Order: sequence, then structure tokens, then C-alpha cells
Amino acid sequence: MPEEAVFFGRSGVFGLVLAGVYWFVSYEIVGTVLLAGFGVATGAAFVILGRAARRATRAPQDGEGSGEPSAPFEDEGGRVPLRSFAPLWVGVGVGFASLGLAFGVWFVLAGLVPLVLGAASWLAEVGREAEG
Amino acid sequence: MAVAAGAAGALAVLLAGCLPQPASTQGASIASLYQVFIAGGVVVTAIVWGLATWALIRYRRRGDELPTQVRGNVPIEAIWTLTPLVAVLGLFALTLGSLQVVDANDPSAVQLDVTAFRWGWQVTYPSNGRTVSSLTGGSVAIVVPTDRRIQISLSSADVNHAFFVPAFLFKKDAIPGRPTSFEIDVPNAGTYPGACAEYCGIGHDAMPFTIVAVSGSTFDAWLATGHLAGEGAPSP
Amino acid sequence: MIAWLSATDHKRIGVLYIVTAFGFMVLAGLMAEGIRTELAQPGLQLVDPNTYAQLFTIHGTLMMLFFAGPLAIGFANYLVPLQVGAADMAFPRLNALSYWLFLFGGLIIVSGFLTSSGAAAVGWTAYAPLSELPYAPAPGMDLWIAGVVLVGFSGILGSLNFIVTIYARRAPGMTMFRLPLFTWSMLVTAVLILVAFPSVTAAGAMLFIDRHLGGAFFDPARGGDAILWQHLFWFFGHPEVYIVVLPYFGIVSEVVPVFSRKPLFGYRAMIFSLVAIAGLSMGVWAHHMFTTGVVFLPFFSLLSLFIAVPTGIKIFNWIATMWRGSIRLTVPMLWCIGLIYVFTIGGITGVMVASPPIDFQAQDTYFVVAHLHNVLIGGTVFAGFAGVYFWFPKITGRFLDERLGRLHWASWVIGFALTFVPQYELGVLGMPRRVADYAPTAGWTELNLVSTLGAVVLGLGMLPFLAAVVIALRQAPTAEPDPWGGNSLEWAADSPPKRHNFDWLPPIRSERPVFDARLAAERGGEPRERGDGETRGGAVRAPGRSNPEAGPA
Repeated sequence: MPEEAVFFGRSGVFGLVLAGVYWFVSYEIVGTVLLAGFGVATGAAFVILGRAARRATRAPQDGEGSGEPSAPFEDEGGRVPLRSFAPLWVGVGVGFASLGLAFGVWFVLAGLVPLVLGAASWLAEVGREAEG
Repeated sequence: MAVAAGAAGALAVLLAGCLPQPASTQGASIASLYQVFIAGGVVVTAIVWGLATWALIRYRRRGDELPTQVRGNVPIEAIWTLTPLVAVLGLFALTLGSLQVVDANDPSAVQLDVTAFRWGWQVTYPSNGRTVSSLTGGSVAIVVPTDRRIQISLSSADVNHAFFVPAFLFKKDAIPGRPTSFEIDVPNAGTYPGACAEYCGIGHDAMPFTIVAVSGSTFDAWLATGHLAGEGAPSP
Repeated sequence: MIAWLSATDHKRIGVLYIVTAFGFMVLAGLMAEGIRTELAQPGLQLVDPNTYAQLFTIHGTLMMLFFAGPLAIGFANYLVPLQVGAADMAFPRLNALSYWLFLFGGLIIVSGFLTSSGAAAVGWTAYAPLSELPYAPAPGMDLWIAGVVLVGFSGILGSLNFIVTIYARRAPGMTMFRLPLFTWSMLVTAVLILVAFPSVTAAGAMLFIDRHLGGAFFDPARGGDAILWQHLFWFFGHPEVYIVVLPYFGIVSEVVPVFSRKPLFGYRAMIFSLVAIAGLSMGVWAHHMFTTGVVFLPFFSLLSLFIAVPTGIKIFNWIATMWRGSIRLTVPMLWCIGLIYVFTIGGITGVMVASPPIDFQAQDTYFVVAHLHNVLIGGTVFAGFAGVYFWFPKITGRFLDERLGRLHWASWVIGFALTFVPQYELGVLGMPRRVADYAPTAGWTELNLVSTLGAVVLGLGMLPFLAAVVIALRQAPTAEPDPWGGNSLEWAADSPPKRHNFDWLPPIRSERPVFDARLAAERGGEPRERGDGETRGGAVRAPGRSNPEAGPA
């Protein structure tokens, strides 16, 4: 099991044990639910990472190899993306929409325009990169 | 090292010296716990500051030679892991002891119902229904006896407040829908100012009250008549 | 300008984060100067109580959520890909979105001051029911909720990005236990953000439902529970305290070894203590609720006290790193030394308030105000400045002036002591926090005046720093890739690094690959030249890049 997954596994066990202890010393429901949620969430990350580790190329582990970087960035050729305004548009859209919390629903509608435009160009960029 | 220890000691004296004279037996327990923690803190500060100061003076760069590349030392690391662990367990034991004193219950205690509101306090003595209250911005005197345990039940009419008497070294929140209570012994007659400690809006700093501790007979007379007899009149 | 607005380069986004965080810090610092000026004398001289409440609310919110956290995320954006030997973050566009959500969230909160009824005025903890509509009808409160939710999403997206980058983008040879301490601290912090931020995001949504959609989560009059807010807020809020401290511990763990010319003492113990602090921090939230009378005191007290142990390990290990070293008192090192001295006091007062009886006295007084500023200035801010002085040459290719830096450092150490030591005493005397005014008869006037003078020293102390930045940026870049004799991989890249960071990497056989390579070269190993396209001494060239935009924009 790679160290990356073990880290989440231990967090999950810790959260669940703490939730159990907390329940039996306090019988307080909110904190127990929150702690158990912490344990379940990190435990789920452990399970997913553990499964993925069996399939995918593994990241470097202790006690393996000499540390010689035989081929740096082997999976990163051309990975660095172009400049993009898409995140800014999505951010502007979400920001505008959240002003609607204070000033009414029209801001939400106004925010949808940059949000949709930004998301569309974001997806288009990703698609182009995946092809090219 | 000596300078560091001296500075830490001065800080401790400053802090311990500034603790208000505890006016309640529970407050006295808290004050002595305070002093134990401060003393421990002074020792820790002296060690850390002393070691750091020594390292800075002794191991300033003197040449280009590469120092020995020490990566760790398990026995030494175990010492500074286990010693603090034992120390905090000791502090925890003292904490539990003090909590026993602060949280102790006495069923024969005199009851006071205190309701916090924006921005003042209303105090009811359920034994005969006597009620005193402060207007916004004004103070209210809460009369209590010195010869009996007092139980104060706290509730709030609107938002969160906190009932804080610095001379008791104690406060408790007044939370709407969640009544709480605490008990206190005030052995000496006197007047002890109190305030709201939980932010509750723009009048937060203007809801003062005073605890007026009087002898048992004076308290009983006050409860019956609403007039405070001269002999028990508080001196600030 | 266009290059910044459309940036996907982790280095540009990192710089945006750092600069924006300092912008919010200056703004919130000016609010603090307003608060201290009002408190210098009894009576209301400068602001009315409502404005005062807006000032301390937005001061706390900005400093915690829009300065201390984002500054660490800014450093991490710049450094984590470099330290793991990657070309960028795992999700560069998502990274940009995280930044924009953070920026707009902050602007939305500050924009409350532009509304006629002002910004939120309920304290940064926004305790219900005070934050409910009947008591806080102003739209500033809704803007506060919107901003907190936005920065919460920003933090969650950023954390996912950091975890994936650290897990999946490490260079060959870079195992988990060869990662630099700063990267480890960001990994632990990212996990904390992931488990803690949803709690406050949910609480914000519930508060909004209460306010405008007829809910009653926190309204006891209609069957809700005011304590529920405190649980949800502090289940986020206490991990948040460590979210804004652990990355800075990571910075200290990078700086101290470099200027002691020794490896970090107890590398694995330092990682263990990071994880232990983070784990314990999940179980201590209700130590902020000791005086509510509805939480089980011993559980939270014991776990809170335990945090002193791993924190002590870190402080002792830093001193042990300096021990028998060859210490250079550069400005970054001075900040770290200041941290060791000052943070220790904050840790000790933290142990004190972890004990419920002491907390019954100290809670909601100036003792707690002094304690939290002690750890946040003596820890977070000191280490943040250490990081700025340390990595400024890497980021800009230029050096900050040493003399101005020492002046900046000295005025902050002195200003800190003047401002906050009196506040410890004020708290012990019983001065509650969040009061706009106090009685002249309370006996607090002199201590408050000293505290305000200290705040002035802190404010003026920023001037040499800003001057040093301006002076440095007007000079030509001269920094070598490795001006300090660094340890981790960012010092193998140019100053500033190329768009894709590395053309070559040294062999990674420990957590100090750059140190190892330098030592090998000094001891007569093969000569090592950078960027010459040759493979020498184990250095390997990255594959050529076809992307025309890959160069510095």
C-alpha cells in the first residue's frame, strides 16, 4: 500500500475512533456526526487511492530505485496549458451570482452569462488539448 | 540564559500579580490553577529561550567549514516528547481537580434566575418572586448573601450574552433556548462589578451590573422588604 | 496585465495570491489601527459602536480567511510544484479559478462598507442568533456569507489541486519521505481544509436559509438551536487555526536548516508532529465553547493540551537544527528566530486557555485576544515574512535590502511586545473583547494606551518592508538560481524559474537534493552546469517542449 493511501487510511481510523470515543463520553450528536463524517470521508479517500494504486503507474516510493531521475516529467510533455480567460469568466460569474444572496435574484441571472461562457470555453480548451 | 529566565520571570510576576483578588471560593481555585500554569510556563519559556539564545551565541557562523550533518537523535527526541506529555497530563489532573471545585453542586443553594437581554439584565429570586432589572445602559445591583451557596441560572431573551464577574475569575454564557447555571460562594461582603462578555450588538459594552454581597441577615431583610439595611451597605 | 488575468502558470497565480493576500492584510491592518485608536482612551472619539463592530468583524474575517490562509496558499502555489519537481500544478485552470473565487470573495465582503447600512457587524465568528435577520438586517451580513462561501470553495478546490499535485506530479526519486517539510505541511493543511471548510460552508448556507428562506436552524424561538452554529463554525474554525499555522511551520522548517547549514533535525519527527497537530486539531473545536455549559469539558481539554506535545517537538527540533550549526543571521533567519521566541509564549498561553477553569476567566477577554494575536503574529506573520525575504530572490530574481529588512523585523518584534503583552494583563484584569468603550474608572487606560502605541509601531514597521520591495523591483535581476545555499528543488531552477520550471533535475536521494548535488560538486564530483542541454553528474534533461506558449509569458 503506498504511503499516500496509508496517510488517508490512518486519518480515517483516527476520525472514526475519535467519533466513537466522543459519542460515549458526551452523547452529543452534532460533534459525533461531524467527527464520523471526517472519518468516513478520509476513509473513502483511502479506499479509492488504494484501488487506484493497484492499477496506475505508481508515484515514487521509499526504498525503491536509486533516486536517479531516469526521465523527468515523463507524463508531462506539452502538459503546461496555454493562457486562458476561462477561469476568470467562471470566477466573475460565480462572484456576481453570489451577490444575489444579498441583492436579489437578478444578480444570479446576470452572473450566469459569464459563468456559462467561461465554462464553455474551458471545456473547449480541454477538448482541444485532449485531441492535440 | 539568565537574561531569558529573568525576562520570563518578570512576565510571570506581572501576570500573576495582576490577577484580581478572587472574591469567590471557586475563583480562588481558578486563581491557584492560573498560578501553577504560569509557573510551568515560566520554566518552559526559560528552557526554550535559554537553549535558543545559547545556540545563537555559540553557533554563529565562524568559517566556511560545513558543520557535522546530524539528522536526529532518537533518545533526545524521546525526552522532549515524553517530558511534555507527562507535564500536560499533570496539568490535566490539576484541571480536573479545579473543575471539581468549580462545578460542585449544593441543593440548598439560594436560587437566582438571571435573564440577559439587549442590553441589560433581569434578576428574579424565585423564593419570593422579587425581581430587579436594569434599563439599557444602566447598571443593576444583584444582592447575594455571604453565608450561603448561590446558584445562578442563566438564560437569554434574544442573542448570546455572557455573565462575567472579573473578581470571580468566572463567566458563563447566557444562550437563548439553552439555559445554563453555575454555583458560587462569596464569603466576603463587598461590591463586585460585572459585565457582558459575549458580543451581543452595539450595546454590548453598556450592560454593567454589580454583585452586592451582604451578610445573611441583611440579605433576608432585603429579600423581604426590598430595602438594603445600613450595616450591610456595600463599600466599593 | 492580460498575462496576469489569463494566467494559468502556478508561479503567476502564486504571486497573485501573495500580493492579494498582502493587500487584504494592509486593509485589515488599517482597520486594526482604527480599533486601537478608538481604544487608546476611554470614551468614543473616532467611530460609533456600529462602525467599531464592522471594523473588528471585517478585520478578523480578512486576516483569518483572506490573508493568513491565502498567503500560505500563495507560497504553496509557487513552491509546491517546484519542490516536487513538476512543471505546474495538476489542474492549472482550476488553480486560477481558486484564485478568482478568493479575490472576489474578499471584495464582496469588503463591499459591505459601500452599502448604506455597512458591512457585517457580528464578529468574525458570526454567532447565531446575532447574525440572524432580526438582529443583523443589513445586506452586509449576506455579503459576508457570500464571501465566506466563495473563499470556502476556493480553499476546497485549491486543496484538491495540492493533494493531486503532491501525489501524482512528483519527479522520479521524489518519494513521500523525501518531500521538503513545506510541501508536507501543505499536504497536511490541504487535507485539513478539505475536512473543515465544508462545515462552515454548510453553516453559511443554513444561516442564509434562516435569514431569507424561512428556515430556523439557529433560531431557538422556532425550534432551532443557537449552539448548532457554534459547533459547525468551530468544527471549521479550530482546524482553520492550524490551517493558518502549519504551512508557516513548514516555512520555518525550510529556512532554519539552510541558515544553520545542517539538515532538519528529526525530519520524520517533524512530519509526524505535523500530522499529529492536524489530527488533534479535528477534536478540539469545542474548547472555544467551554463557557457555554453544554460541552463535555475533559474531552476537549485533554486533546487541546496534547497539542502542546507535537508543537513542542517542532520548537525543540528547530533549536536542535541550529545546535552545533553554522548560523547566518540573515533577515529570513531573524524572522524564524523571532518566531521561536515569541510563538513559545503564545503556545504556553494556549495551554492555559485549554484548561477550562482558566478559560472561564480568560474566554472572551483580552487575554484570548492577546493569545490569538501572539500565535498569529508571532507564528503566522513572522514566518510569512521569513518566507517573503527567503523566496523573494527566487520569485523576482532580486534581493530585499538587508538593512531595511532588519529594521522591519526589529519594529515588529518590539511592536508586537508593546501591543500584546499589555493585552494579556488587560484580559487578566477582566476587560472583555469587542468593546468599543470602557469606563475611565476601570483602570485599563494606561495599558490600552501602551497597546495602541505598539500598534502604531507595527503599522510604521510595514514602511521599511514596502520600501524594500519597491527598491528591489526597480533594480535589475541578479540572483543566481541558489543564492542562499538551499536544500530543496526550487533552488535548482532559475531565479525566476522558466514557465515549465526545470530543464534538468539533480538526482533525488534525500530531502535535500540541491544540497547533495552542491556537496558532490564541491567534493570534486563531475562539474555541473545548468541548462547546457548536456546530461552530467546525474542531471537529466527534460524532453523538449513543442508548446509555443510554454516560455515565460
